[in-house]
Amino acid sequence: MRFSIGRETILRPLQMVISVVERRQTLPVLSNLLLVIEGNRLSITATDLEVEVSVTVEVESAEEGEITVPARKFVDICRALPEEATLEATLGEDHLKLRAGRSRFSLATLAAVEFPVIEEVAARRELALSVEKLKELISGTHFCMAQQDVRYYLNGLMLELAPGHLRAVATDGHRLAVCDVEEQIPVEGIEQVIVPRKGVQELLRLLGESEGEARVVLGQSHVRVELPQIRFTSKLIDGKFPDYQRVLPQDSDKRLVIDRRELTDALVRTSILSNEKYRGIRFVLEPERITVQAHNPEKEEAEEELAATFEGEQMEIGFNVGYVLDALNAISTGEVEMQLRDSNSSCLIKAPESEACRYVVMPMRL
Amino acid sequence: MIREPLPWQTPLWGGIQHRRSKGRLPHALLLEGPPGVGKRHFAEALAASLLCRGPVEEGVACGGCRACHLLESGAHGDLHRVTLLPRESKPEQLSSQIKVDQVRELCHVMGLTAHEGGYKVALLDPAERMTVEAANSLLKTLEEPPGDVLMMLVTDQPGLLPATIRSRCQRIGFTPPPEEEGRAWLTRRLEDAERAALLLALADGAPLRALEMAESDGAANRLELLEVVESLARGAGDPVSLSAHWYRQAPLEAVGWMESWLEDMIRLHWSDRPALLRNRDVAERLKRMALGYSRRELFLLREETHRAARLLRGGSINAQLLLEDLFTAWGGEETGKGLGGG
Repeated sequence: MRFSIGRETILRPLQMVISVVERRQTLPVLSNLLLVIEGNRLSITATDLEVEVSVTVEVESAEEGEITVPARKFVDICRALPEEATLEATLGEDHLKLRAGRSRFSLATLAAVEFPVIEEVAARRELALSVEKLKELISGTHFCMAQQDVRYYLNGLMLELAPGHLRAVATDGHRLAVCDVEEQIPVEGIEQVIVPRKGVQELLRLLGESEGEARVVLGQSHVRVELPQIRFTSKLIDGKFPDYQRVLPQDSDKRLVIDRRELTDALVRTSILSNEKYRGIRFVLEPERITVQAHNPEKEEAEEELAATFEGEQMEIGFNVGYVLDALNAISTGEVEMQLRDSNSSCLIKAPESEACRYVVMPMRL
Repeated sequence: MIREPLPWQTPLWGGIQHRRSKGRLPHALLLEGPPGVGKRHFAEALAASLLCRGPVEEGVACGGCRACHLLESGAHGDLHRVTLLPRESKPEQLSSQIKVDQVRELCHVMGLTAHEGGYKVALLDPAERMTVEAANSLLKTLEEPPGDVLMMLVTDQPGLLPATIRSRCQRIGFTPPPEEEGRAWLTRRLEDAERAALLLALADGAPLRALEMAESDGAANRLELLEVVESLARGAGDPVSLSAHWYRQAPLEAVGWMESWLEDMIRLHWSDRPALLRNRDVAERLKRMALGYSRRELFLLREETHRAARLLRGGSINAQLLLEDLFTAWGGEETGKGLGGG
């Protein structure tokens, strides 16, 4: 096995895969990268048995073969080389010899057969959509995923395939996010899979560095996303997502429309004096204006008045300000709409005249 | 890689494989029994059997498929081991407990789909070393793990596990094999029938423990320690400097030897030819030593030694001081007044 590649060319793919490699590994081979040369293409793969990322680049003077090398050391070497350097790698007896200019390195290797790659994902469903749309879907929902919840099926993002749309849903039990993109999806009925938290975050990062088209493949126990030059695979959560439809408020009779920027800024200011642990904030809603109030155990208080359109009877309701702010930040329109019923019912936040992304926040008793 | 169960485990193995073929394999097993009877061996073989893609006769792993190769190299993604990790401060020493983070990590991976699409197997060993928090964080997963799961908890001391853990597992009790069978197995390995018989007796009939003794220098240490104790019993020797030497060796093992001698000494005090005797090779010497004590003294000594062993297993005790106390007790003067009463 042999290849030659510019330092700049190999650095980007390396930086994409390296975050998958965990620092503390039970299996020594997991702290290695799998390098495979096929034709004139080098694929670099990292895995932690939960998430696998593989990136392909073109190399020169390639000779086929496969091997694994210590991930961090390999990346550190490539990073430390001068910018215009060209890296030449040759596989020796049990070492990978690297040469660049006047530098020489010899890296310890482990056999490629020991590397637990996820083989073909038996595809149950496949769909293609633009990277842009997939990114919107995930970035609009991922922050609502639970973290280390005993309800393990909440520690991830649920993807739902239905004939007319692809939908992402995340919830931690206090708030919920639902985002849709319209796609013609070749399914009958509804299918759901849950992608674990780590995989979602990794995928979002990779999507940020790509453009073009994404192919999503759902297997029995894996989900695979193929981006140009990148292949992302993650295990799924082996569980059933709760019925989120019942959480979406149906009978809200009050509607608040307000400038998103103004509300966000007011909440950020007011929340400084809210209880640090519970972060409670009170909304007093009256026609033509709303007031947000916060106070803390030190008896400090903050209050701000905002102009807004409110349809319905006067009411008061409390929220965890963090949840409201997360939802407001995920919406991109100038105005936002909040649908409410009473101080004990959850609130729906969305962009006016759009059902693409919806956020549900449970109220707080203040 | 371990594939086959030990010969005396064939009935247990057959039972498990039968239940598997009927689709009635439980999702949590508690493998319990004295040390050295092959619980771990059984667990490893069962794990290999479940993960193998084409098990051969009696469900034994084939050893040739991809899953078996991955298992062999220790890189199988669906076998999750939770065991004592090296201490962070002293990497050459193992931690005495299984920590809550290890169990949380296990629960997380158990919630994911299987890497190879088949069974997910967890091996918790030694299970009784889980901290209270670790055990509690396991409960939910142990009760209803998602998918095809087998969680095996291996323990020598099931009594130390919380009842909430025990009640969530099906228990498989392991016992030492019949003497004949154990001796035959051990003789094949040691190629020395006499030594096999002695070691097996010393190991309470547990063949793997006997084999371990044969392979370590445990047996040699034993005779050296016996001399020390004999001199202490005569009133010679200095307990302080002796314990300073012995606590560095294997204190738990040393205390274990003393326990076994004392039990034999008590038997020998009553009869010249007791039906049950572990330390057959040194019976004469033990008898001589035993006659130097009263029966009451022997029982108190044994009690004290037993207590010391329990404290040592607990892990957080100063072994040197503990041995010093024991050695002093053998010296006779303090017997029955010191630790024994506590």
